[in-house]
Amino acid sequence: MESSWEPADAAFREELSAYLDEELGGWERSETGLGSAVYTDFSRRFVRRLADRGWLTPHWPEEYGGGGQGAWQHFVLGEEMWKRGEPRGPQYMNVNWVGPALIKYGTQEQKRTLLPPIARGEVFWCQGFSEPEAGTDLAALRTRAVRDGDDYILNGQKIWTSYANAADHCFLLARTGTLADGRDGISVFLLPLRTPGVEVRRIEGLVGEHSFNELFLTDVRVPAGCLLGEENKGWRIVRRTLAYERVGAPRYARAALVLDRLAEWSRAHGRLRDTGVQEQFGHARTLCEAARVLVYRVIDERAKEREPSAYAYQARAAMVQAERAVGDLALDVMGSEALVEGALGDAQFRNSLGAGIAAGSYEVQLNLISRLILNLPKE
Amino acid sequence: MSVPLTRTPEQAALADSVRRYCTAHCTDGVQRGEGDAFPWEFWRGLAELGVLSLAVPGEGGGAGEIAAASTELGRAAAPGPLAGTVFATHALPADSAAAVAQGSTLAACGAPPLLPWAPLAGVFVETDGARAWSAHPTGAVEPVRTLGGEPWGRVELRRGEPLERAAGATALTHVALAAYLCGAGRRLLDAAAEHARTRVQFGRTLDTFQAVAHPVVDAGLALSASEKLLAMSAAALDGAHRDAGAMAAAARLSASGAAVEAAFVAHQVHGALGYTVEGPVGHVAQRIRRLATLPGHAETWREQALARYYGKVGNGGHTG
Repeated sequence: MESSWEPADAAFREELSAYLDEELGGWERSETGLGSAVYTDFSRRFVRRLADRGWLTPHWPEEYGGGGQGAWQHFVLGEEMWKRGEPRGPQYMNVNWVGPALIKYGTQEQKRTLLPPIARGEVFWCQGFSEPEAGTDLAALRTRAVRDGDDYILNGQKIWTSYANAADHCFLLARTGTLADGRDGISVFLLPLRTPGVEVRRIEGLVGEHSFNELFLTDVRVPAGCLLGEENKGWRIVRRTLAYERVGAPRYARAALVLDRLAEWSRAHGRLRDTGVQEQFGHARTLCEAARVLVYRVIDERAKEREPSAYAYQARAAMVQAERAVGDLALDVMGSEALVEGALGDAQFRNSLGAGIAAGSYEVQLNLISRLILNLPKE
Repeated sequence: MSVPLTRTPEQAALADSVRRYCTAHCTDGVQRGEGDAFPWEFWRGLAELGVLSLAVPGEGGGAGEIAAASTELGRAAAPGPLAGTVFATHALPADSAAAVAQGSTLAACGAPPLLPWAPLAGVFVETDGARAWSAHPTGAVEPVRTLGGEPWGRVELRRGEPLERAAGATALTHVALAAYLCGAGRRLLDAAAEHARTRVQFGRTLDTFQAVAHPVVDAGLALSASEKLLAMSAAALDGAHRDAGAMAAAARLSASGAAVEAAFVAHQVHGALGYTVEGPVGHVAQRIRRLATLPGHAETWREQALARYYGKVGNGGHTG
């Protein structure tokens, strides 16, 4: 595939890689833990330097602080970042889907006030989607938003909100219609988290120091200008957002790098001569490559400015398979050494645990592929 | 099959007493190893029940008893060096094994330098999967934290006397681990099934979605097979069947795979809840993953299990 890169994109990757190798030095995610205070502070500093070079939002239109570059450059960035443990921290979400959603659906005022701080690397956003009773079934969400004069009043609870402990804003879904309206009664709010009535509680997670959070909203009053798009028309924003999110984190890039390191380890320990081990490596590598090309198909659509299609579900499912295969291989091949906290195998295994849950469960991706690509009926 | 695979009344009574003891004393805090302190009181209580001396030669405990007790320990997600205890108390001479069987010191068994429980251990046994030696650290133990926070360590050992009962100790350790993994796997699968029965999404309980139900069923099949293999291997060991060692190895390999599958399914069914530190899945799944991850010399056991069907297949591994 490398041979098919446009010279400009290939040159960009080379320049970016050299910069990152120098800038990041020995920095590794496993040492700092996604979501930890150390990581968060590091990300804030790193992302500002990235923004100074124009590499935070190169794919955004210039009028909003972007570089006017295409979808491919955005993705080269994503691969090189994720491969290195995603040093942008929570801000990968800002540039992947929060910003693009604001650009597509925001008012002039929202774009003017909210986009430049993202482009400068000054703010964290989090995603207020899941609720205790609305996980996979997101459209069952119950958090209420009631219009009151020029304001909305929000009440409800969100859960599994990664980075809410450090974020400035929340991209929040709330019900403006009735429960019976289902997905036709949902709106998107751009909620400043310092608004009175917002409470964040940490939930300790198994993956490093990454924490989920609960978000409690009690009579939270926000101006109507916090509504994104039209009232009750939030679901199409959600669908588009999820389509971006599903391929937003190129997990296969990290998995492939871990696989390379596992191969080095195996060679050094005499394990790579084992034909059974070779077969496992071949299998895992194939899944990483499959995920890569299926994601590229999605990026290609985006580069051609087509609406996101069902191919994003295939890409996501393929990424989950790749990440799981490498996580399992790490434990099989390294044996006991893979269990040491922070070791290559341990880190990959922990990350692969969440792959089939994050950004929509693996089973839901399969259902969507079944219906939308294979045209099979609903269960 | 003329050998009954049901537990004897004595084994059933042992399982029952371990279950009751764990219900009372293997609290959530003990299971998760709160802080870095080892739950000595819980461990000594197991010794008083006789659980830690089941593998001592001549004590009357056999593979069937070890299987019965260890299954309950797995179901309770009990902490502690079960495998090392079984190995050491069976292989070591009575005088060195006594403190381990009494629960007053812990045993670290394995292939150095990375050894489970080494920072807390007072007794060390080196094994390459077939042979074993009593051993002594030649320097300080470098503590290492492992998946789920279990205290392991890196240590250099000096081999002492070779241990005659290495093969028996290896087989009984296979049985103990297979049983623990079966018990822990069942616990997670039960939790997954219960969550699927009660969690409502899209207006239905999760168990009505075949995408959820089928993996639970598959994992249950794998566990059932492992449980039978475990019972067969324990009966074979206690009956001194010539293939008993290979069957015990097969039971461990089988239970390792089945428990990992059950843990994976439990994670997937519980969604994000499975990834929380306080949730019902995480700490059990991590222990399963740790116990099911085989040491580097596990090839020996795979070859041993295969050799039972096809003769010696490896390239020089120890099949005795």
